Amino acid sequence: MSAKAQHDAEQFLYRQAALLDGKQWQAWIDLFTPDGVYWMPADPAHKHWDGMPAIFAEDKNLMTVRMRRVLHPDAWSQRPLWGTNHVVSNVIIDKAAKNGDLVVRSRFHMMELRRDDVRHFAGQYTHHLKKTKGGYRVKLQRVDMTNAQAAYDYVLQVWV
Amino acid sequence: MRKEVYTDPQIFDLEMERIHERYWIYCGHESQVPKPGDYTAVQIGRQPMLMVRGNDKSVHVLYNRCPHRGNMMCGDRHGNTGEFFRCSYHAWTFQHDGALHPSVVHQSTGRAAYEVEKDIAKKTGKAPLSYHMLSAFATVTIDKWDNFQTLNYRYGHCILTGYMGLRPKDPDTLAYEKVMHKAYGKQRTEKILGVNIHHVLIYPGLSVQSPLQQLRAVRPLGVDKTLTEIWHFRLKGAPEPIYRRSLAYYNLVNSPATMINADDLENFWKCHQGLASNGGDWVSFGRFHGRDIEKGGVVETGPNMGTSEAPMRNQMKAWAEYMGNGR
Ligand code: FES
Repeated sequence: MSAKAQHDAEQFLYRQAALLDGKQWQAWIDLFTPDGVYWMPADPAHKHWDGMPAIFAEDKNLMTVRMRRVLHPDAWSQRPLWGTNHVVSNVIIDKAAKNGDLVVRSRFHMMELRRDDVRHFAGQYTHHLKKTKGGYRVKLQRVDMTNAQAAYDYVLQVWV
Repeated sequence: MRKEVYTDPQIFDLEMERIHERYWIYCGHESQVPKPGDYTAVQIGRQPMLMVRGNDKSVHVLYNRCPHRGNMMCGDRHGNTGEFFRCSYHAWTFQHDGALHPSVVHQSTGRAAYEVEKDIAKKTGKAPLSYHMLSAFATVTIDKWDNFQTLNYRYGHCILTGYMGLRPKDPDTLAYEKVMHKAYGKQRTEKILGVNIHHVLIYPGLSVQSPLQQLRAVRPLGVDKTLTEIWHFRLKGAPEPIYRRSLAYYNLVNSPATMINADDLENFWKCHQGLASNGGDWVSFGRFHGRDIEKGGVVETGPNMGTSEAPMRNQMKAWAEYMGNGR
């Protein structure tokens, strides 16, 4: 695995996380390929996003619905002070294809603040990255939450 | 001094009641709310309060609580409420001095889904039904909800009639109807599929949403904590797309990342915040009271009164009946 691929993959993950923390929803969606999918399985044993109950299983159209929802003035649950902080680390390239496409595994930690309440989420990202002229694009982002199987206290408003 | 003054929650409550919620307490400086509609939320004693600048420039301090069901009025620490306060739960509207203003829900996701549904339809001719499941929640006016009906049975049970149009004439539904005809014959199929039900509520803690093959068990964990367990079902022998439809609804509406229930859950949380205040000892279930129609022990909401709080009245009646039975 080349040091450059490792570096580029890391930079990509950091920038993607920064877009979430900066609430740059459209720029974040733009990082997906046209057929890209964001998937958070309800069960770590699930192998495929399609046809399974999931916490998230969104193509770009559904991502757009979610973005427009959170930007709508009547999305009441968005009204309190609200923000996140992501840390991404332990980046491992699992597969590197000849054409430059990568499968990258990493660990994340996200702290979320709503009003005065802090929640923590952590888990594993698996990014299937496609190499394009404009840099990497996400074909599939799998997000395995450590608490995927636990009851959720309040909802996840946007992508983790 | 006894040490309990510092440790006993009951003494703390008494101290709140007799000192911090009774005598002059600093609320804020008027410069925090310079413009009409500016508000800032503050806790006084145990009371969530709002300081707001009125249109007439005077400053009002109100309980941060809707008199309807007790929802917290403003979820943010500060901001500008515009010309009125509007409650996020059922859209009751209030003037800056707290007076009820003579005058809706899921608007955010409903509208967003409606727009994307339109975009997809423009590009491909037809958007998948799952977008309709979201856009059906959009409301232009409250009248739309008044078109529905609830049927209220003894012991707190209730039926909400259908409104999402989940028996469309698309190829998937038609294929499903064919399978049904084969299995049950025409007449019985009509009887099964013709049922116009969105939800059946079985008091005290079960909700069945048959058109989307869903079951919800609502389990109370504490005064301010409830666990909702949601199951979805695959109908034996039905075509795969019928399962997919149920799954899409389950994923979009009921997952922990729900785009529909997010605002409901926020409102439930805010109700508990608002109810912590002394802003009133009652919550109101009075909408369209006295205009329900009773037929053979079943209470129906009247025509165009679908937003009647008859189901809540019915449930609380059952609650009182059960609670009064000390056996
Ligand atoms: S309108 Fe405020 S709780 Fe119903």
